[in-house]
Amino acid sequence: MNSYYLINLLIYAAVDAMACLGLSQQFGVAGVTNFGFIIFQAAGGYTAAILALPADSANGAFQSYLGGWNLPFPIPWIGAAVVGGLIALPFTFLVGRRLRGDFAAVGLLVTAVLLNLLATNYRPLLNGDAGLSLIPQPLAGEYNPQSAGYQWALTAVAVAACAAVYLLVRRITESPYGRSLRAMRDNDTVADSLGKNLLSLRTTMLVVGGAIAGLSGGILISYITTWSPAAWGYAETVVLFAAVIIGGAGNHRGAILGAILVPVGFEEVTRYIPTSNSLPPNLIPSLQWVAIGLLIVSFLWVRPQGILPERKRVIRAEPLRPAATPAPAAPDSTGQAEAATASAVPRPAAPPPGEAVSPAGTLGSVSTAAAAVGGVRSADVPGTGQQAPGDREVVLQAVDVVREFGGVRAVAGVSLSVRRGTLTGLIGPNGAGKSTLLAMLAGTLPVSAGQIRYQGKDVTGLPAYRRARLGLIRTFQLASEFKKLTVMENLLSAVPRNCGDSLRGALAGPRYWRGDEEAAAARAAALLERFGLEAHASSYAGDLSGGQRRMVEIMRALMAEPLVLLLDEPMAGVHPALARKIGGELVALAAGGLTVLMVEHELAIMDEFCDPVVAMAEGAVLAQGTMSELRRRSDVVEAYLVG
Amino acid sequence: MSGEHTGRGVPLRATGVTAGYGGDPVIRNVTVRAEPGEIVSLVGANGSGKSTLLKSLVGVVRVTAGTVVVGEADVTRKAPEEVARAGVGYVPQVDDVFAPLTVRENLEMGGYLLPSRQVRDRIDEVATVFPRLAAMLSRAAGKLSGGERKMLAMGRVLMLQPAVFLLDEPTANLAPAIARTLLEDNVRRLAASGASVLIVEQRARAVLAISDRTYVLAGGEVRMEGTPAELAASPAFIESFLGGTVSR
Repeated sequence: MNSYYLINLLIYAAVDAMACLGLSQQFGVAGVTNFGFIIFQAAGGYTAAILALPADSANGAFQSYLGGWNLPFPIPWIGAAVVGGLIALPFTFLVGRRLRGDFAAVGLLVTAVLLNLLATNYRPLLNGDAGLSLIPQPLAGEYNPQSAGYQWALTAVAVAACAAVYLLVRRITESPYGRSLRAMRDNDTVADSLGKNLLSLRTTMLVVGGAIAGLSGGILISYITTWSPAAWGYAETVVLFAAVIIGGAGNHRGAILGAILVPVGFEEVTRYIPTSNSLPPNLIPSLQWVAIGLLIVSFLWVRPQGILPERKRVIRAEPLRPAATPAPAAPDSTGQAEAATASAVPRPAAPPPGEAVSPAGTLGSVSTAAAAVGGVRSADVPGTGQQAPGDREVVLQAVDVVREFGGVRAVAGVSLSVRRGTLTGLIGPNGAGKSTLLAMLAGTLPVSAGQIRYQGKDVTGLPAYRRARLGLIRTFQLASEFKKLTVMENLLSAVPRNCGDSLRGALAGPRYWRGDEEAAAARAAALLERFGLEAHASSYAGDLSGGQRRMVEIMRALMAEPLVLLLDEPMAGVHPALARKIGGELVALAAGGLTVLMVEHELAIMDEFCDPVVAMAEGAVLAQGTMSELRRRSDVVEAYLVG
Repeated sequence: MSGEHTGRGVPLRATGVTAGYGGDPVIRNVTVRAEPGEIVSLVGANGSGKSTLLKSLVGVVRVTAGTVVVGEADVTRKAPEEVARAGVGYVPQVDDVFAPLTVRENLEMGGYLLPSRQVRDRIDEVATVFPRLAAMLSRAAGKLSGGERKMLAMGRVLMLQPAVFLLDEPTANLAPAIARTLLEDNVRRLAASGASVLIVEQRARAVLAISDRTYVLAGGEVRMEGTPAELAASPAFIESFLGGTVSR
């Protein structure tokens, strides 16, 4: 094997691996299906070329192109990365907003085809079909680019750049920010409801992946010194996707392995296929495409997780002990809350108030533990313990809210006030509009008419993630765990103020965010212990039973430090004894200042824990009162309690 | 079910079933049976393996040991569609209706194995079981409320008049009145028409009231078995299931 061949192989491997890492970050980690990925590499290649080339007038109209600045190394490479990142911004219109993932993917694919056609056919832009050639190599004036030493140095730089990119994407992925990206990948609606700004996350991923792709393009043209539309057909994206899927989506090492196996491997293996004049000239390259297609299909069939699957991230944490850590609650709230709970809700198991800080995890210790562990934002909560529910401040309000689904009025003018520190129940027959109302309160669905007020402010126009950041947190009726995150990660994904949960924080490295992370993990571990799921902390949430997933969702909502919790049938499928325990926990949290609005069909739960209870039917509020008052109302009984 | 069940009495017998998702088995050596006309319930804590057991019976989860026999047919490790053809109807816990299709189209999908001229009649019959669905046949299933979706998932399985009925928490998202009708009326009539019914429920009292026999699962194994009366006499059972709170 001569050194030219080896250098060629190494540079292509490094460039393809970089591109695959960028795609792995976008697709494998963040779930952004960028079928236009090759555009970004192309942009980097062209940028580096026109930054390095002299003006086109200098070469006697041999080729024509924009720019031609003749700038020294490393400006072309930097420019390639910058432009690769910047051109991602317009694509935000495709991946952001309300465009579904598959539509965005098609939009990006079409854009890649359009841009390739443009570059091919409009010569003044980038020399059209023939492409750019004779691109000056880095530092060509000082060294001899033909020498073996130069070639090896360029190879070393390319491999080093690839290693740097690997470290960068790993740092992003393994941070709390990376966890938010993976949460978005698994279920974006839920991530939104937990305060993740999907538009910002996706845009950032396009920019980061675009910059990586741009840099890879810049490095590649420095070696091959030409760049033409034929080098970046939209189908090249398919090759990169094949590499990422075969290597293992979500695992960056898998992306590197895939890059070596698919683009590099295929190119090399086909060199050894004997050719003869009797074969059509394009047969081998065409068969290469067939082989790549078959490879993708067979991997999706036999081993969809790839050669190196995404690995499980096990986070170990000692549960936070309430006794060891001062509760952030107001000093007077604990005792008061305890008294209020005991008097408002007679519970046979209530321990004497003195045992409030018992580590045994009985119901009595919950209010303290809840304040410390459940993380309710109690600092700005006035003492609510001694007020009757009806006198308390209205924290969440729907005013004449309407929601139509294609002519059907699911919610037809509902006004509802939820008061601070109450457990308000919401009952009604199936199809009464309860879940729709909850979705509008949380911002998951826009209202067709009417107003949503939260803490005295009109939040009707606020998107779900902004409401979540204000402490208005919802859960979902149907299973909504992040399947490929562990139970512990599901809980941590909801933590609102982790300094590692931003690109900047992620780049600052584990030392910067470890403190926040460990504190959150300790809180999560304590919650898991209280709900009896500590043995499943490191299981994938998608592997749990239906009832356990409901509990993960409730715990995750508590980790989000809610002021108001909107629960959609939290007890459905939960074992009765556990349902009752959850009810007890919620009562204790409410005594500490949390407000809960809960849809539930289990009337025993309503009887025992909720006051007031609102009854809905056919999109309107029928009545409001205690459960026993509602039982005496013939219209409620008619609509709901008897069939 | 408006009495029109074909009356093929077919028992379901699962013997020594061990199954899981790769790794450690989730259920171990479980033996359950349901005879024609019988309502058999499965109760147990979250994660005890109830849903996994149902999934292993219908071929969704791989059985590693034991046998599953429906009537004369051994359906162990058969594909889900073959189990369906053997006469087993299964309503999963997470009811996946076809969201973009209308309610009628969903029901038509449920009647896929029927001769086309019977499909319309069956839809009418299912609609009499769930009158609420009758009123919204042309609505997209994705726009139904949670409880309505559950009814649709049930109705879709009803289309084939299965001889063996496996129900995974059918009342989980249903309003109390409908939940009661479903258990006390629909499920009972299903059994009365000759079907064998195996039902997983968290509403222990309600399901015990209609059960002929009950299995209690814990840690992936059958821990107790008996008639509701026998179980109601067991202190351990009362402690864990009928703790006096969540009734109805």
